[in-house]
Amino acid sequence: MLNYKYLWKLLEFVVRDNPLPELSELTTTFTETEDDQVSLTAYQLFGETELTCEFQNYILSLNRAYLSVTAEGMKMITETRFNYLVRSPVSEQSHKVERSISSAAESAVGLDANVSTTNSKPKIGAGVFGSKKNTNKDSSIVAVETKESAQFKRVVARGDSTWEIRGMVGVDPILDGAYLAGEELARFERYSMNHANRTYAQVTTFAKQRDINVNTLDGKKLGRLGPQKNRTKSRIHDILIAKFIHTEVNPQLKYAGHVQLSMTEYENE
Amino acid sequence: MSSYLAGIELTKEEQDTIASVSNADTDNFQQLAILAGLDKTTDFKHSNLAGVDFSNSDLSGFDFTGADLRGAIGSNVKWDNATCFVNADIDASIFAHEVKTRALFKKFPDLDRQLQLVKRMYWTSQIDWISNELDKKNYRGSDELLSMATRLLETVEDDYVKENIYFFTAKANRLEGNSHRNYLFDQLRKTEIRAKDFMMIFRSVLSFYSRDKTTISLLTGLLKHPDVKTRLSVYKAILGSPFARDHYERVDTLVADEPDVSIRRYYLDMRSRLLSANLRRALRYPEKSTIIDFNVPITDGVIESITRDWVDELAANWTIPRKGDLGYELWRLDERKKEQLEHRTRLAKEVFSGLYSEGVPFQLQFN
Repeated sequence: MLNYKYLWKLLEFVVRDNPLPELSELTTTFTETEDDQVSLTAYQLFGETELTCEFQNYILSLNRAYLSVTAEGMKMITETRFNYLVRSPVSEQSHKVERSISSAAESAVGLDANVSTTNSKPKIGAGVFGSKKNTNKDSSIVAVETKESAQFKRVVARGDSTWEIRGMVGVDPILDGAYLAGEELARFERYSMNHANRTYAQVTTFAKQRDINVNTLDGKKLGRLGPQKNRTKSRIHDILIAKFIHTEVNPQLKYAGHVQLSMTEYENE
Repeated sequence: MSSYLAGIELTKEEQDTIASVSNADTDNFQQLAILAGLDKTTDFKHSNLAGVDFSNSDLSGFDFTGADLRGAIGSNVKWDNATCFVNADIDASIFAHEVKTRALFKKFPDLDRQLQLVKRMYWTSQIDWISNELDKKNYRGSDELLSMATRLLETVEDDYVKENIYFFTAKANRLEGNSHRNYLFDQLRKTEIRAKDFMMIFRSVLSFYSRDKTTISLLTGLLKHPDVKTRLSVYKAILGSPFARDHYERVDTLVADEPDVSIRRYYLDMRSRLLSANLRRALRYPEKSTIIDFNVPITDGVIESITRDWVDELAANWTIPRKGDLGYELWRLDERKKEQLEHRTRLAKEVFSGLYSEGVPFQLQFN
């Protein structure tokens, strides 16, 4: 909980860098809390953006993105990380089983044993006569209903101070809308209150090329129904486009398979 | 178009690069990568290359860190230790087995020792030994078993023993499902594979996995194999499978450039089966009992020739009611032929148009 007397210390981000605000918009706020920690809250929006080309316009969207935090002069408190999943060793499942069995069996088994003795030699005769009339009607209906409730988290904490933001496959795979709406991402504590004279944090949103969707403006996927029928060409195309976007928005960084979409920085001396 | 979209604009140079890839005559991965000016050491990291055909590409030095290579296919693909697959998704791809084997031999360098014994055995003893060896329960996983099999294949010289090894490797499936299938496909895609070895493996694939959906998908990567007989076998396996319909898009693209006439005819025969057995007759060459080659332009003359032959064949079985007047019978027969010719011509045209719209690359030149 924030203490209002510290609100004056609210430190807005010092650099805001959203070169493709339609595709990804990141806003962060660093606030000092009453127990001398720094709280990081974030707003992260995703959508679609257009890429203009002479012969073809494309719509870019994302399947997945990552939000990464690097800090200097302070460290992230692991337990405070947003959506820090702790797996329970026990998984609960509820089963509802319906079983109805109707059985009508008629059986008749006859047994006849015969023992006889003649003179000195005993003669034993034994007979078992069995007749089984079995009109066995055994019908069983088994209905098994399994209910499992699993929560799908669209934002999940990963290692290396990173959060994975993902769509749900089959439901809403494309990132569209606000995935962080002012949630507290994490809290930081300074290495030493007396000695640390500078604290710095950088929050970046990036997407890997494999998670960037490139569609033509009429909604057709390249390489299937679009101008190219060839999948290899289509894949090379997508890589090229990701690389060009990267060059456009981060000209100082060499492309290495991912595009930095947004970045905010916080500095306090 | 939504008004909130305010996007990026590519430079002229970037647009030209995209256009050059788009209009390239080749679909070879390596050539396209060079044409696009992509750096193999950085630009393919975390990339989406799922289902890409790497045929005839040298991937030495490519860095596929974190890339999605699932279902990647291809024949005559080269890669070496400088090719990086760290954290890449390689399931059901040509790289699946090789990458795992590479790690395994690093871990267990003493696997080779036992093989020296096998090399000196008689072939019957070899089969016996190999069968028992691959049955052992002490393999740590399918990788270990399959690596052993690979080394055995390199050790033995007898083809019959080799074919047995391909069958025995099915035992790997008990350790890890699909590992045998993936292994056979890795072997099929080896650059330097002999035609004889190819057919050995191919027989194993069809014996075990002919009704496997993924198998047929992976087989499509072999449709550009340089050997005609091999290609025909692959086409037969794909088009004869119950999942053929899923692969028409790719097969249609490849068959258009198919140089071998027997493959083109086989393809057309299989595609026409979808229509009906009766209509397949429309695709038969007159005077020859083979299916028409789709490289031949389909003109009105060709249609007429087909339908005339077709109707003559039908007319051989007609019985015209005899009324004692031969002139009437001949007139009636002629009339019926005319009717049938008209009908069959329409049918034949429908067949050609229908197949054309389904992707068969006919050159339709009739009215």
